[in-house]
Formats: sequence, structure tokens, C-alpha cells
Amino acid sequence: MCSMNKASVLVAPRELKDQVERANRVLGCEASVADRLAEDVTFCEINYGQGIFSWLEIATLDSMTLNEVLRSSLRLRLPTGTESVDVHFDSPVLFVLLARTLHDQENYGIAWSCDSEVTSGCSPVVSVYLRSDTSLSPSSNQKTVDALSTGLKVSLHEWDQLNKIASKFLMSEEVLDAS
Amino acid sequence: MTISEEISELSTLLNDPSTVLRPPEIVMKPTSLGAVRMTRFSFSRSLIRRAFMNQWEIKRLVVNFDEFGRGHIIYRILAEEKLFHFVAFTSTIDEALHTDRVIADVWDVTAALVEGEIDNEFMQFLSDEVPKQELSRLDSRVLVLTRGNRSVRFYDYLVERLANGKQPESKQLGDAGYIMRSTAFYGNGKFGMRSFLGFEDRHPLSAPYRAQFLAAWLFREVGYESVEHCAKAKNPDAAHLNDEWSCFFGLGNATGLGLVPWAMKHPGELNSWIAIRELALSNVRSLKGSTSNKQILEEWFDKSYQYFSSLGGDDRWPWMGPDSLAKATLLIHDIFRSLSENDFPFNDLYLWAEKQDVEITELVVSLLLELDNTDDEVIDSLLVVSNEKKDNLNVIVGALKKIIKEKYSWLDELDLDQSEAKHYWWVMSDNAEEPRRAERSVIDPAHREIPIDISLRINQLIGDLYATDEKTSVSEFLHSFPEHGIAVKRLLNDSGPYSEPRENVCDFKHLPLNLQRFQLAMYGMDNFAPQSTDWLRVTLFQGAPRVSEIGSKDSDKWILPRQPEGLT
Repeated sequence: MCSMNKASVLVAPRELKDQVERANRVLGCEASVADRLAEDVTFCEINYGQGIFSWLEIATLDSMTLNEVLRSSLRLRLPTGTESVDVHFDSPVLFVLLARTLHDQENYGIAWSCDSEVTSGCSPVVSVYLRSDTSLSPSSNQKTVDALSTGLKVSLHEWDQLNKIASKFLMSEEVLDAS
Repeated sequence: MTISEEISELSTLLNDPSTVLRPPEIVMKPTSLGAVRMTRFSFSRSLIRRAFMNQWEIKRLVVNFDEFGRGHIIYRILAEEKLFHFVAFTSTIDEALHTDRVIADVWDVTAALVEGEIDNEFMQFLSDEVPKQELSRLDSRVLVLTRGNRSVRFYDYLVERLANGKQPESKQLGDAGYIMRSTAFYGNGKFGMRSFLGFEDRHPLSAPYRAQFLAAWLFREVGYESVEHCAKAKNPDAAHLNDEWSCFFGLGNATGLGLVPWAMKHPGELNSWIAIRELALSNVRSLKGSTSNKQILEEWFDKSYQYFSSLGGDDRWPWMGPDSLAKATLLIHDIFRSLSENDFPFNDLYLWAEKQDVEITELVVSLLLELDNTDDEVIDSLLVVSNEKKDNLNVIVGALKKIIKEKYSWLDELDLDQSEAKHYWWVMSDNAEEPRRAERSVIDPAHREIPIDISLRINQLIGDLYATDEKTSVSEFLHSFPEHGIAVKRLLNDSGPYSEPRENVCDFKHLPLNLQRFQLAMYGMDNFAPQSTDWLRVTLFQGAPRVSEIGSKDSDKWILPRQPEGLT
């Protein structure tokens, strides 16, 4: 169940991306996977909300399940010569993991819809319908523009939780100096 | 001669077959990058040209210092109808607490550049947060956060001299040319500040690093204000720095390893910075020699000689020092005289220079670029790198192989399969998040490495790509090999010919100073003084006009200032 603590803090998109990336590494993600997931979470937080909340949910998964879940978006592809495809997931996937890739696909003329309405990053998705649509044109993303200009309002509680995990990415100065 | 003003796409300009460009295999060599010097495109210079051109109004609004220079000072900046303030909080800390590294937690000066009006509430917010630096929580009104210290060697000396009614003596200043030394200029979303891409179009600070360099220019002002204030506190009849000295001092800066991760993570920015320089060089090389442009270059040779010879000093490993550079400038000047009647003397000078030591080559390049007149608006627009990602995962593995074959063959020369290639890994310290490098054999990275090992990653990618069917989509490939995501993204984004430093930053032989100097020169810093393989001191804005001089003098020939009182 999604929730939003009332206390909030303004963060810059790059801060969010950096912190999620570091926190991913702390969870054991390889650097490339961490980078991709950080972009996913940041995009979702800006455009749909609940990106960090969803990430905190994902962070509780065991590493094997986590690695499998993180590949979900890489299945969102319209095979060459195909007009449409249904991509089905065996277990519901949080929309936070799919949102950015789906929006990117629009830039290449691929429209999408999910089996159920997606309202935030924590909306569960079981299947995605992709179809070729050459009428699509890249749209300007006002939410991103606003977030870059004035900051992105996120839950203070969630931000603190994220930072606490991300801080473990840093290495002790004493250890480095001693080496 | 200028870069075309009609074409705004850098890639279009680079692909113009009539433009003769230096190849990336020369320009992107570590030693070439490590020999680069400031040019007219460097950010400190373009800032000052813009401020003068558009008649920015910069006024000291408040100065509230005690006899030791402790308190605060506020500058008000009206730039092209946008209002900014630079607010500096000043203190005096024990000399023992002065450090060049980013990791200190107290400073003589902490400051911020903010946009908009400052009321009492905002001022209180700034006075609470700015001194905390990395521990502060700011918002989008704040554009830049900085800090620094008084020069231990010179601050008190200058105060004493002025208090005694005297000017400084060159021999006491040695090779330093600053009153205060900064250690960081944070911006672009750090600690909640406004993101760089959050500046609207045609905002006066929307060019890369313009906000940081406005802050640096004002930080330098604080040094002057502070010294003269403290001198006057000692003696109401204290002297002011005279005309010779009042522009001589710049702002010192110490730079560590943080520039290396930045360079490796921003291929698009590297490409645009270098491409602009190379396009301008190409333009200058195509010029016929006229009396006026030959005279301009001769004046720059003189200026360069005066600067290096008045600075004086031995070589600064791994680079030439002021004495050697002064001799080199004389040699360059002689060679140019012998070529000056040729049809294309600037091209001929360059062709001679490229056969010399790389430092001479790049010194010649920086001087030749003074002949370029490309409009600053064009340069500013070419500098901005699109945030648009081009990593289309629908492309096939065959396309990636083609990119590697065409653009990454230089990896073969790096011995990436040798153990020395993975000698170092890059990490962030828990002290101020300072980037460091650690030896892999001594400390296990354990998921802490900063992924700037681009050469190694692409090398590893090649192995798996060649074991995969050409028609496999990239998304399918990454489903099987998610660890190649960063390398694949690098290839698909294709940031341009000058985007990749041709080295492996994890290699045992990697010398961070090269990438550091390259970036510092792009920023507009000079007087490179390496302190080890990993960090160096530099000076910025030395010789630059004071903010009070906007509108009163030439705004672009201030670099390479001759030390007052002549040769030391």
C-alpha cells in the first residue's frame, strides 16, 4: 500500500539519482544495474511520484529476486517487423521499473498501455501492450523542467531512509589513508 | 574568421568536409590534454566578456567586517534584468586548520551565489546553512556554494604593507598571485541547489560553469576588500593597492582527484569544449596573414613572454615551468617571424609547433586562438549539451560492433588485459565525498567503485558482443549481460569525436594531473603547480578586471599579467 508522509524536502533530480545509485550499490547491484535503476526511480519520482517509496519496497527483496526484477524493463521491446506485442510478467512488477523505458519507447514510435491503470511508481503491472504508432512525437517533459528549476518535493522520511542506505557506499577516510 | 553563426549543431560543424580538424588520436592523448592552456573560450574569460558586453551592474551592498575582517559582505548583481546576490561569511581560523583539500570543516570564508532578493529570513537561512557547506541543505534559490581560506603566506603580509602605507614587493610574492584560495565551487543541484539544466533559456548564467565563475570572480573581490579593510583598521591612513596591483591578484585554487571522475562521466561536455577549440583552431589556420592579425599575434607573444619571465621558476614536473615557457615563447616568436610572410603563416606556425614538445604545441594553439572572433552567443549555445538520451535499446548487437570498430580501436593500445590495467579503482571517501583512488590489491572494492573504468568496461563488452548473434537486440543482450549497461549506453550515446580521453584511469601508470590540467585550463585557470601526481594548485582571474571596472576598459586582454615591478 502506497503512503506519503506529510513532511517533505526539496531535492534536485541529480541528488536523487546519485543517492539511489549509491544505495543500489550497497544492496549489491552491479554498477550498470545500479545506474539504470537510479534513472528509473528518478524518472518515476518526477513524473508519477512514489519512486523512492517503491525503491524502498524493492530494496527488501533478496538479491536473486532483485536481479530478476531489475531485468523486467529489458523485456519491453517490440520485435522487428511486429506491429504489436503483449509482454506478460509472471509476477506483478512495480511501475517504477517500467515507466522510463516505456516513455523512451515513445520516442521510437512505440505506444504502450498497461493492464491496469498506473497512478504511481508502486502501481503493480502484470502485462504491457506495445504497438507501433508512427504518429507519436517526442513530448516536452514539463515535470522534469520544473524539477530541475525548482526542485522535486519528496517525502522527508523516505529521503532519510534512502540517504541512510546510500551513505554506506562511501569508504572510510581512515581506511583509505591507511592503505 | 569565426565559427559559422548559422549552424548551431556542433556535429554538423565537425562533419563539414571543408574543415581541417586535428584528429582525436592526437587531441585526446593524455599528454595532449595535460598540456592544454587557457584560451579565449575558457569560462573565466567568457564570463568577463559577457559581464562587460551586457553592462552587468555589480555593487557591494553590505560590508560588515570587524578589525580582523570577520563578518559578512554582500554583492548585488544585476545581469540582463536578472538579480543575484553573492553573500560571503568571513571568519579567521587557526593556520593549522588551513588545508588545500576539500575535506576541511572550517574555512576563513564561506559564500553562496543566490538568485533574487534577499530578505531577513533568507539572510538568516544563508547564515545558518552556508558555513556548513557539505552538511547544508539549500534550495533552488541558491546557485553556487563555495568556501576558501586566506593565503597563509601573503594575507597578513599584504595587510601590513598597506597599513604601513606601502605597496607589496614582487620578490616577496614569489610565484603566487592570490590573496585567498578556494577549495570548491559546488553547483548543479548539489545539496538542493538549482540544477544547471534548470536555468531557463537565455538566462545570463545558463552557459556551463558561468554561475561558478561569477561566484569565483566575486570571491576574488572579497579578498581585495578584506585585505584593504584590515589594513585600514590598523591605520586609517593605510594605502590602497595601486593600479598595478589592484588587478594583479587572482583567486588561488587547489584541485584534487574529483576532476577525473567528472571528465570520465561527461563525454558530451568534453566533446563540446574540445570541439569548439578545434573548430576555432581550424579557422585560424585557414587565415591569410594580414598586417593587423599578425600584429595581434605578435602582441600576444610579447604578453606571454612578459608573463612567464616575470613569474619565473623552474620546471614543475611533469610540465614545463615559467622559465622554460618564457624561452619557448621567444622561440615561437622567432619561428613566426621567419614564417610571417608566407601565405598562411598561422597554419605554418601550427605545423611547426605540432612537431615540438606537446607543451609548445598547446602554447601555440592557445595563442593562435586569440585571432578567433567567434561570437560568444554562438559559443555559449554550442557548449550546452543536450540532456536527451539516445540509448535506443531496439538497435542490434551488430550496430554496437560497428561503433566499436569505427571509434574505439584505440583501446587495443592500452594493454587492458594486463594486471596493471586494473591496478587502481576509484572510490568516494566518507569525508566530504572526496573521490580517491585505491589499490585493488590492498582494498577490495566490494561494490564501492565509481564506474569510471570506461576503457575496461568497453573492453569487457567486446568479448561478450562477439559471442552474440549480430541480429540480437541490445535489450535482449542486456537481459543476458546487465553488467554491460554503462558501456552500451556510452556507445549508443556517441558523444562525438573528442569525448573519450584515450586512457585507462585505473591503470598503474595513469597520471591524474593530465585530466585535471585539461579541465582547469578549460575553466580558465593558469599557473599550474603540481603538488603530487594527484593534486595541484592553480590561480584564476589573475590580472582580471575588478567588478567596479565594468564598462571602463578592455575586457579580454587581462590574462597573462606581468608581475608589477617587472622581472624578479
